[in-house]
Amino acid sequence: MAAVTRAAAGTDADTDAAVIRASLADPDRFALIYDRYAARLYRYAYQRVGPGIADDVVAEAFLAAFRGRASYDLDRQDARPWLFGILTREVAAHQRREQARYRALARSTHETVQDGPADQVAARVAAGAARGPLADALAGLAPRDRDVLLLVAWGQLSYDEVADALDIPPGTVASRLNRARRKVRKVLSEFDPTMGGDDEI
Amino acid sequence: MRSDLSILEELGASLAPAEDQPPADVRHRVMTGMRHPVGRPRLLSRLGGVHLAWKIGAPTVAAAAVAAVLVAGQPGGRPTPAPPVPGAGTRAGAGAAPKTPPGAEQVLLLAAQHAAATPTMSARPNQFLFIDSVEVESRIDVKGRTTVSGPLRTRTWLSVDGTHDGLVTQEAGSGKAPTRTHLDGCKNGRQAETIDRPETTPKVACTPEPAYRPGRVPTDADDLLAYVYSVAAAEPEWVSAGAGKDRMPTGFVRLSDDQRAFSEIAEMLYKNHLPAVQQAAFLAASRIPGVQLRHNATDAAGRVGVAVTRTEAGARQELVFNPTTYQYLGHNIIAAEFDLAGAKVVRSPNIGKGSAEFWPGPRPKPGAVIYKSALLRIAIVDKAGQRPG
Repeated sequence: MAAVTRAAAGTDADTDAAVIRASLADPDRFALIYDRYAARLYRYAYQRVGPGIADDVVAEAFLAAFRGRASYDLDRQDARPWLFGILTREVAAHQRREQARYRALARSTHETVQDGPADQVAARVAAGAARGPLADALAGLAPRDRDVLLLVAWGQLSYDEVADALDIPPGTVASRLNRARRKVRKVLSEFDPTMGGDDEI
Repeated sequence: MRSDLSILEELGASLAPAEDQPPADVRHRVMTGMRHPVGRPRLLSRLGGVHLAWKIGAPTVAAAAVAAVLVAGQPGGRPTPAPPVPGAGTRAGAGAAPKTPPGAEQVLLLAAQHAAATPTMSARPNQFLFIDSVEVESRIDVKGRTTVSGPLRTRTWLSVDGTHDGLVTQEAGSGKAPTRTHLDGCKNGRQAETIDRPETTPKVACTPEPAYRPGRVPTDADDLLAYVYSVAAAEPEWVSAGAGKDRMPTGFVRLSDDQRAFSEIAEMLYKNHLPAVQQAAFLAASRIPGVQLRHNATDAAGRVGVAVTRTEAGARQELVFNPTTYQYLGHNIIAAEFDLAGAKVVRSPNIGKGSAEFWPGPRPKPGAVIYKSALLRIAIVDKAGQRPG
């Protein structure tokens, strides 16, 4: 294995692709992929399925990635979309749990004290109050549309990365995202007409 | 006006965990899972595969480099089978496809007759099929040197109706403790996703696979043939076409559906011992294009028999039979020439379904043993782990 380690010690030795390549012959190298992405995957999984289940989902996603690493496309230097794609499939196994989480959120009321500049506080309070209808809207989305919307909004993936993660054409990403956002905006504008506008660019 | 996406991001922030990192035991689970055998819910899936797959990430792997079957990361059970698409010419008179040489077909017909004449044992749904067998497997080091281990005594207990937890024990050789692998049963349509940690892994949907009762595997030869082709289409398998100087795979070749169907039958013959299923499996195998006859094949127990074989992508799959009674003895995988001429080589197999086999070192020389499994006896017992009297 020493030879493999040396061979990988070139200039691109620390890209995700190089690490995954090296892990084919030396499985322990895959630990580095975990250390790079565990926090991001955990945050996303926790947001979607909540505590407890998030631990299982993240562990299973990494193990699935490990078992499937021979089929990783080594032209892709960044493994994040690949990992989010695997994570999305693991999350899908807990769809009911996820919906229950959003519905519970929609039912609960929140009284929060906020510090900060007055306009920001007002916006946050309004957004806080909008959480209920918003969570309800999320629970009602088609799973495919919800995956795309949340990979963008919570996973911080670009459209191309979402296409990569879910193995769908970029045009499909755009149409699923549009459909999901239309529903979310409708709910938000019913709640408060000043909310849910387009991005101001 | 505020963007819906920014409001959604705020909702996301309020749902985020307090800690940045997942709990430490998640990392421990992942690292342990990488080192310990991790299989798929389908017991003994992938024949050569299963056994090799169990050894993924085992401590010796990093040093010795075995042919590791890397199972793609698709959770869940077997996908809904696609409509059956048997290869053209699998039925009599279907035309120009290669016909089964009479010898191989005849052996399979005789084996089917032997299975038909085998009495069905009485078995209650909550009992277990006990399979006593020996396995031989090879490891190949990075210099291409092959070490053959075994025969290793392997005892398997499979739930008669597929809903109870089974067990596999295998002797590990000189002075080492035998390995024990728990097999999660399919209870109420759910089973643990991985076989090594049934208590802590999420349950996924499953269909019970009875080992000794009528179930999902058809007992009609036509239906069974269609079934194995549907599995072949749903779960493709790739083989690495070679390794570069850095011992990384240079590309992968997808096995034909015919080869997958043939190896799926070999797997079925281990997992399901209902005489009606075995009979149908032999008849179905006789209709797969490209099977051949081979004399003087030796099984893992050293018994010499006659084999029905199918060769593709550097591996010859052999079903070995007693040359006089035509009782099924076992399954061999022997290295063969890997002819890449005309093969479609892809850089990476399609992740998400199927599996890929990868040789870290040079491929074994033609004729070398990759894997052998020989059946010694079967019996019905009351509990997993119990040996018949």
